[in-house]
Amino acid sequence: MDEVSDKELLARHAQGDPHAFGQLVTRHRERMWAVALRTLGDPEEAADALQDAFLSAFRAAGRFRGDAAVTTWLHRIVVNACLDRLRRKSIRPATPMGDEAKIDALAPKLPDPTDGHGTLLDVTAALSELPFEQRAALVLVDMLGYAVDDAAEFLDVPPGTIKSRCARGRARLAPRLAHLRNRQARGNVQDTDR
Amino acid sequence: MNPAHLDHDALADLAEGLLDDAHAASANAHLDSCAECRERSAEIAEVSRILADVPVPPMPAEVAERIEAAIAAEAMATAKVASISHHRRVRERGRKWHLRVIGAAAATLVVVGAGAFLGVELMRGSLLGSDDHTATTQPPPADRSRTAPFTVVRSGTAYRSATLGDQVTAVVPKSRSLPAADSVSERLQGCVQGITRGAKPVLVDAATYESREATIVVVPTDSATWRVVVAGPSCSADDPAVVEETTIPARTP
Repeated sequence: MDEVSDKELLARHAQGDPHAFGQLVTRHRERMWAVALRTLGDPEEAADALQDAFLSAFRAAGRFRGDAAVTTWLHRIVVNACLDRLRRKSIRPATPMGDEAKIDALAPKLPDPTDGHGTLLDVTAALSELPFEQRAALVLVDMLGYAVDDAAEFLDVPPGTIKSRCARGRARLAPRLAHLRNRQARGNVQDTDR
Repeated sequence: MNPAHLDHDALADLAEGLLDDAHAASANAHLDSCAECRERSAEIAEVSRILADVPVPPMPAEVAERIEAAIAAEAMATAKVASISHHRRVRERGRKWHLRVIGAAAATLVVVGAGAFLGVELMRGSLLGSDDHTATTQPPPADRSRTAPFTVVRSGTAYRSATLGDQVTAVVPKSRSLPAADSVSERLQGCVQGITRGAKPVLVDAATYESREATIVVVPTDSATWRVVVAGPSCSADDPAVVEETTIPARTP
């Protein structure tokens, strides 16, 4: 029954329809949650960022220009809210990732808890060491499967910049995640240290 | 390392098509003859696959509800402003059609009231770790004392961004001798509980920050640090309206 377009909903909201914005939120919140959770690596931070983001979108709806898709506009707001969160927290020490409760909240228990849980831990920890720009690009393109052009629009940079951020990020993650690959690939792992 | 070997950066650039033709050709030629670099190149390719395989959990229901409540509160604030300005215009111009807008605003208020109530209840349930499932369907208990394990003081401090940490460090030790606020509004209670998330704050100070009304909430994060949150006047259970947040070394008593 959701035949109304995003743009139409946003326009109705701007005109005072009290239900239109809620529909937009319901429609897109899972996707936005994935972006925020993976970008920030912490469910509480992600929830805070997402709340900030939807409130800014609520207030800024009247300034939305129809030249971009509503989803692009929303992604931009979410990414910026994540960045704001990180800036605000920058005085704090890096998020400790050893907390089991937090890890549980980050991903559902997988059939093989040692492997799946460990992988998530390693990936989250490795991602958290990347600069925000590289992490955001990798989260969008590699983790969540967005096209480079879409990621470029969300982050408001040229597509070439996204490619180079992804490449830099992959290069930094490769040594950190090599053990995951070896674990799954084969037994005859030879260390490539020269 | 053999200077002809390719490092992770070069290999990642090659894979992403970022090297110019000459560099790409020589890199590919090297890869043809070097198993070690092929192995590294495979590592790079695997990064994308490993990242793609990490599952994303669905948004927790409480997060969805919290966001709904925050938007409902925002809608209420907007509706109030709209109805006040429309009242004014109605008086000035004597036009009746504005009443329709006021009617819409009033309808929003009702919906919002229910949403805000739900938000408070959910928060209380999660804060107290209550297993009582009836909590969300019953009206809040009259006795609020158990949900307010903090005192709001009025130190009269004019907090400033540059000196926030030092000012907090100075105020906390004398907070017990400071005048307490006569009454704590439900909004402020919800605000503080939303920030402390069940922890006992070492200071809740109704003061000013950069010359604006603000509530300074200080919560111990561990034995060594305090989290200092400056909440604006609109801070509530649903929206902390955080103006500033920082972490400072805890002052040992």
